[in-house]
Amino acid sequence: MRLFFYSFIMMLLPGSAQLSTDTSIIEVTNAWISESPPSVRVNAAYMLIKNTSDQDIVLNKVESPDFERVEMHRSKIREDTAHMELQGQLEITANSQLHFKPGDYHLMLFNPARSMRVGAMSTLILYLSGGRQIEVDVIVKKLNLEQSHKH
Amino acid sequence: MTIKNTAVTMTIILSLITLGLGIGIYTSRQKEAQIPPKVQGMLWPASKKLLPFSMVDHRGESFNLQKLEGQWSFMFFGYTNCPDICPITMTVFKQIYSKLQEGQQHTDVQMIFVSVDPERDTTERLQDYISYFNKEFVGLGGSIEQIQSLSGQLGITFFHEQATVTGDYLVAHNSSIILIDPHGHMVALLSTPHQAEDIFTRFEKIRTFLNKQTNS
Repeated sequence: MRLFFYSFIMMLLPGSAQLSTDTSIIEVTNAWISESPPSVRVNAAYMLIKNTSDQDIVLNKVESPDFERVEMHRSKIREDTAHMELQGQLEITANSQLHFKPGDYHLMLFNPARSMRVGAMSTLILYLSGGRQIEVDVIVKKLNLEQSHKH
Repeated sequence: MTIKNTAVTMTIILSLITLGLGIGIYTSRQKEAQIPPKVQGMLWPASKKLLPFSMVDHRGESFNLQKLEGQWSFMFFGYTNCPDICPITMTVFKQIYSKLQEGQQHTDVQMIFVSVDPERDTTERLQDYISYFNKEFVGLGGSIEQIQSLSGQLGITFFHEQATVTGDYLVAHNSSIILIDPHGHMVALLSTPHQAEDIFTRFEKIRTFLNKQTNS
């Protein structure tokens, strides 16, 4: 079960004309949604995306059937002020990784369609260059800074 | 002649090596000097006492300057719809508070979250937000004028950063934790990144330092 929770390798759908059909080109691990207080209608989601191929990949957008809208953001502290910068597309260069983690890149999930308490499961759909889609199973957890700092 | 030439050559080589080392050390120091030191926070031992202000807490009760007196207050300005930085800071607050309670030496401490989003952060929402992190924490809200009556004195700024067609917007806000002493003086500003252990250690040092000053 632990492996199930923390290690998700994707399902590559058809339509992969430009990219390798090798299913190991993208690895998504440690995907989780941070639980929010019950009355708050936004959540953050985090994950580690590894591009294990020799080609650059672009993450165009993310969607979820359980949320009205998903945006990619990056938290930045400039002159002691916290900003969230909306990210249009994110490039993951060949053999590199993109880490969505607390205080940095994160997904902002708006208006959950159902309760998202600790232990609930959801799905994120990553839209990549080349018409690829990857479905990622994601679990809701409490924000744990000690764990986050290990990644 | 040969010996003399050799000596001259050796002298030149040694001089060049020395010169090279000197330039290397100088350049290295110049580079170090260009990197500004990371400021982790600021301490104001002789700061002015805050002026009266009036806000509403998460229970709907009035919260004013008197509520700061007699206790050390850790204060953070944010908003409940903030998905990343604010929950991180509130989680650090939980860790600090837990550490402060462990030894029973710092029971005169309160943790205060001040909302900078009066449009969405109603008293009910603040109550829910505070209860989620720790029921003993304090949440403050009110009108924009009430918020500014406190934030303005502390040099805290905030502004709407982005609005979408759906009406969602983000708020840019100060990321530091403010420390206020039991007499209502802002004594320190603790910058990010926030580590509970580090803030706890700094708090103990600040408290000891200021107590010594008061008693001397």
